[in-house]
Amino acid sequence: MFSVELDIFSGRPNPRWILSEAEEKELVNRILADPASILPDTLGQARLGYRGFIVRVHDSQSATYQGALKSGVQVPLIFRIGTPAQALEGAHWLLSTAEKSIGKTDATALEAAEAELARAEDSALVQPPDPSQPGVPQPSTPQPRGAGQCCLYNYLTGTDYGFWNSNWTYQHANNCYNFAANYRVGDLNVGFAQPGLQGGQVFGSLTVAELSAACRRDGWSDGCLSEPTIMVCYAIWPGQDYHFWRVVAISGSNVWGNKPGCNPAATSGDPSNPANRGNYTTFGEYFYAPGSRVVQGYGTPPICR
Amino acid sequence: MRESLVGKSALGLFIVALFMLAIWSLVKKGAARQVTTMPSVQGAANLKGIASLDVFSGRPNPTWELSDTTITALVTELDQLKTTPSLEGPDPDSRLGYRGFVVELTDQTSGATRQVAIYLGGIVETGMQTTFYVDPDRKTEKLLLESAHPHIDSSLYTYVEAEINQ
Repeated sequence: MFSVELDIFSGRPNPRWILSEAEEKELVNRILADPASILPDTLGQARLGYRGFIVRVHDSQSATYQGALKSGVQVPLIFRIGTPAQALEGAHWLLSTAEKSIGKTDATALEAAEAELARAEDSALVQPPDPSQPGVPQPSTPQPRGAGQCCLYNYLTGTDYGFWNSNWTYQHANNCYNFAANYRVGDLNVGFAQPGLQGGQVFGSLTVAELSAACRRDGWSDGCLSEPTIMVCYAIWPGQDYHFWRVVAISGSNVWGNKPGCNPAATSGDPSNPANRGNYTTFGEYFYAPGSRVVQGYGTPPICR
Repeated sequence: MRESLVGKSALGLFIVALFMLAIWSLVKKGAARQVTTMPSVQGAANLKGIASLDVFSGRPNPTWELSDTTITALVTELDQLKTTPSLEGPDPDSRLGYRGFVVELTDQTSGATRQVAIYLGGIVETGMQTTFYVDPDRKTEKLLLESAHPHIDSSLYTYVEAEINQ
């Protein structure tokens, strides 16, 4: 017997349901087609909101499970699948198996997960990771320039800035915070992410205290995580604006990348050096997230260069 | 019978004439949309304009509507500038801070829209075609900075003024 838990709540118990025999086989087939989709069940727990599905195998002697093992893929008895940073097709299917079981009792949870999956699928994509770094955490020793904690497991995308600059909508719907969060939207109406908006309250004044609090509301962590981690930092142009940077991989080197407003994403100088920050003289803090962070905007301004 | 036939023929001719008149006016309107150059000073009165100061990264850029006076002055300046085969002047690219002005002009009759991007004397106009201008005295930027004055704070104004005058 396979059970599935929709990992979405923080206070309430998560919805759980049992897969039918046919659904078990379907799940196994999907896993065998993409073994990298299996993740440790403990990953992504620091995130608020949708965190994927936890699958538990209750009968290790079942024909379905034994069949999976015989194929050579190591399928654990408990694992996570369908995290926000992964491919989403399997997540949609798993969600569909929930509807007949818990559709009436936990409709809110299903709707919330659907909404987040729809948003992730339709408009907001993460830049895929470097092909040399598979989905499971791999130790690495990156050496980003400048200060900031260098994580053992780094989600260093093999950055092709074309992911952000390749068409007009992508370039104009995403600002520095979208880029830093590795959360690209394709809809101008929800573009130009603002710190804190996703977390329920956008930042107030342009101070380190306000912006950092807003980042924490959006779910950013203060240190490295036990899974592939992106590292970002920000600075403030006093009284005027803020700007974010993110460590990315370019041609095998780890550099700081950024995206000033509607303008193209590009490599930047080390932001810990004031000479590379222009008017953004007040340095903020470093923040970390697993792969990407969901962020939200009010919409792109009417005119962008 | 004969009068009836004549009457029907006349009606038919009238309908055809009306049809051709309709086609002709559509063609004329379509030709009017194919504006390939910046409207002359005489046409400026028919334009609405929105300007944006491209300067921020996280927050939205300041954006404001241009007055008729500013639009006329802008078009007048552009009329007098030399065109170039390519962009002359620095490309703001992805620098932090001041990256120039972007103006969107809309012809209120035809609905045609053109965009003019200006940065440190180099100008790109896009619409039905792309045209490059050079503005060595940066008059267009100074004009737009003045139009921005009521919409931005003094600190930002002073900063942009210094950038334009560098």
